[in-house]
Amino acid sequence: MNSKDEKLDQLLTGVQPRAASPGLADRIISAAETIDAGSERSDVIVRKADESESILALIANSLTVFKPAPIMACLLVAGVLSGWYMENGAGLPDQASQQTNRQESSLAVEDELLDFIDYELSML
Amino acid sequence: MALVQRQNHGERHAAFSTLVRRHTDRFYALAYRLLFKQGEAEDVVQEAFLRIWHRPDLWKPEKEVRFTTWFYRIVVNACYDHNKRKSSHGHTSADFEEMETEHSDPEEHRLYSEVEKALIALPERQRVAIALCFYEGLTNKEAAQAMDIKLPALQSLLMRGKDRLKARLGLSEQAEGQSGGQNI
Repeated sequence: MNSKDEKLDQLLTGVQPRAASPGLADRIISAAETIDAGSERSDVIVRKADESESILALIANSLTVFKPAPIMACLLVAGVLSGWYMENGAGLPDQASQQTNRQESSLAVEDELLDFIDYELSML
Repeated sequence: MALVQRQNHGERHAAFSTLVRRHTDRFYALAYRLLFKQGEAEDVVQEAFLRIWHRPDLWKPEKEVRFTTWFYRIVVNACYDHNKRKSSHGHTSADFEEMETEHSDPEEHRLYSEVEKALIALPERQRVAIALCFYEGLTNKEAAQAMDIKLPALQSLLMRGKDRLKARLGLSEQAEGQSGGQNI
């Protein structure tokens, strides 16, 4: 330590803090007592808040967030399966059944037309 | 401190009272050296003690070396918070005017007033490091624990703080032009 360091130490030693108020310790102790007396009600509020927080934490923990990679794999498998299923024709009506449906509907129209003609003739 | 953690209210309160009476002056002195205002230093110390009254479980005896080292950290953090609340730019010129030194000799008064101003002008963390090591007599390791920093960081703060003080007080070769550096 050189002389300048020693001089600095001397100067720093000479700086003393202003004394604290005489009753500072008592003030702190009585503040603790005062707060303690009024803290029962706030304790209930804090406990309730803690309970609701723990319920929320429980719900959050019970929720399972799936990882993206397995989800993508599952979707891919589901897509392949549905594609294969449709390719084999199980999912959609084939051409023959579509034609039958069209024929049935045209026959129904013709029936209605014939009924109408019969009605008109009976009125004559 | 272990007594404050007891469930029995009477014992707990008695232990807290003992703790406060034993340590108030020491922690007030630190707070004063960080804030340089009597009223604010008293408020900060009260706030710190009430914190352990409410949450005695904050102190982990198995983790902390000493209660006082740990409580220095509480007081230092309370001072940081206080300064942050007060202003994001630290002390103002009004703080200088409110300061009072207790030296009867006018020459001494002027001299130590200059030293106080130099201390106030220090960046906050350098001031804390000097207060803990120089005034409170903590070892570098304890001061680093109290400031929650690594030992080399504390040593660097101390060195830069002392250099800055020497420059400001005209004790260094390069005293000229070094008094107004940037805050860390």
